[in-house]
Amino acid sequence: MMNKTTKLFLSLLAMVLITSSCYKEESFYTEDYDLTITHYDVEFDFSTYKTFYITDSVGIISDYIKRGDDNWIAFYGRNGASVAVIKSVTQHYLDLGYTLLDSMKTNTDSADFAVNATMTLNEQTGYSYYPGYWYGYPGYWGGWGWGYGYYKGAKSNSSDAYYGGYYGGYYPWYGYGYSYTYKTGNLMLEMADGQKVRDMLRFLNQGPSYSPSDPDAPAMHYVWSAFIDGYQSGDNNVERVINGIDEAFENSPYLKHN
Amino acid sequence: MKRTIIFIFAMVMFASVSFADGVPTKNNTNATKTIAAPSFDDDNFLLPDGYFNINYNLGWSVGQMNSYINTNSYRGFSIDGRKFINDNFTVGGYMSWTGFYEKFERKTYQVDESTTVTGVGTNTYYNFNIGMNVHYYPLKNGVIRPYIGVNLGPTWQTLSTQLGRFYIEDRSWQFMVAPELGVFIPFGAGSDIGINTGVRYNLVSFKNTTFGFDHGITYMQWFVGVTMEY
Repeated sequence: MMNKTTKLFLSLLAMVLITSSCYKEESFYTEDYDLTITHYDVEFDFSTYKTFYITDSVGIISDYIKRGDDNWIAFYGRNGASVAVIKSVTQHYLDLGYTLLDSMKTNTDSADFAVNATMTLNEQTGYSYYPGYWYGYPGYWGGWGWGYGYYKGAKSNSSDAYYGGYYGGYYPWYGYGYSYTYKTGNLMLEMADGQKVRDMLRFLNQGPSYSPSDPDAPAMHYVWSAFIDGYQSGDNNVERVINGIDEAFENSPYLKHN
Repeated sequence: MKRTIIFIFAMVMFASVSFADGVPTKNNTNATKTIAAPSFDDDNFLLPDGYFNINYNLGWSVGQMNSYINTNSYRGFSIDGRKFINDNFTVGGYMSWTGFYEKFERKTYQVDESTTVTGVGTNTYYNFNIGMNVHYYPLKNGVIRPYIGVNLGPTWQTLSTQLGRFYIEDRSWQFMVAPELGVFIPFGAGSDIGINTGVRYNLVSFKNTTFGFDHGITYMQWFVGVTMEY
């Protein structure tokens, strides 16, 4: 019989050989985080609408873009996200059979609904612990350092995100911590009832002290909304947002005007 | 901390069963008594004290687990130690780890009448088990030794579902029962090293309607590995 040390050594060797040949998980790309959500008022009859008005540009809510800076100029530029989004959304409504008006109320007509687009662009910093391959052990007592672990931030094929990490231990099975930053983008499209929008505008025009959050402010009625959510990456962000808009309209067949 | 204590306890238990050596056993007490004239009519003379096994496990989901993850698990291993308590039975300890993962193509989910979500989703399942095992060996003197047995013990598991940037996770201790059917095939008649292979059914007591489980997580495993007699 072999001595116990030899057996233990052989066992560990066998374990290493067996486990190191294990299967890697499939990659998860930045695009895989893209999400399109739609929501609508199920009681509402969309065939009662004929005309619409859309804002001329996309509003920005951001913690890193300031009015007039490079990002801002690019966003509102000729090839920027704002122009592309408004163009895409407008075309979808035209394709559905609605008529575009120049303003909420023209001399001859009033917009039946108004479309507003807002984009939230934020930069986030996270700190993550990379648990290594054997994620799931009690207490995370290590995990050999092979293969893919999990972290709930963006994956590293994003050129905007950087991973200024440091290694927490010399041995690969320790896992390690790192910090990273990533940028998120969320486009919100709102389709609001035109008469309610005009009531609100009339209310706000009474004076500077009137605000939409006023308890006396007329209630808005949103009949449809869509959210296109994801991480920003190198150069195809606008394209991905447009794909999201296409998906949102595809998922909302009830919008069709006869 | 509690987890660590349970874990260390199990490791100690496991190690003591696997590598116990100094304890007098039926075999070596017999041997000292009959040292002048070795008797071979004792059937137990060539029987091992026990086994130590290390296995690779290939898993596939069955039952409700199928609708959660329907891909094979290529990541799994187990080690176990067994000691004969009489001619046909062993008791021992075991430890295993299993990982399941499935990525779903981009598709649209109807959340309720008014809401849709389109995205890429993933489901993952990991567990880590420690516990006791009992095995029965119907053939006492065969070169090849088939067996039937069961593993019992606590399991630490993690389930997670991700859709886009949204992520939900459930981690908990559960209880696991895993009956198995296998065989030891030595590398030659006199060898104390061989192949261990068989199939195992795993049942984890788990109920969570968010993840769609109301009568346990179930999966099958084919295991293959090295066995060492001691």
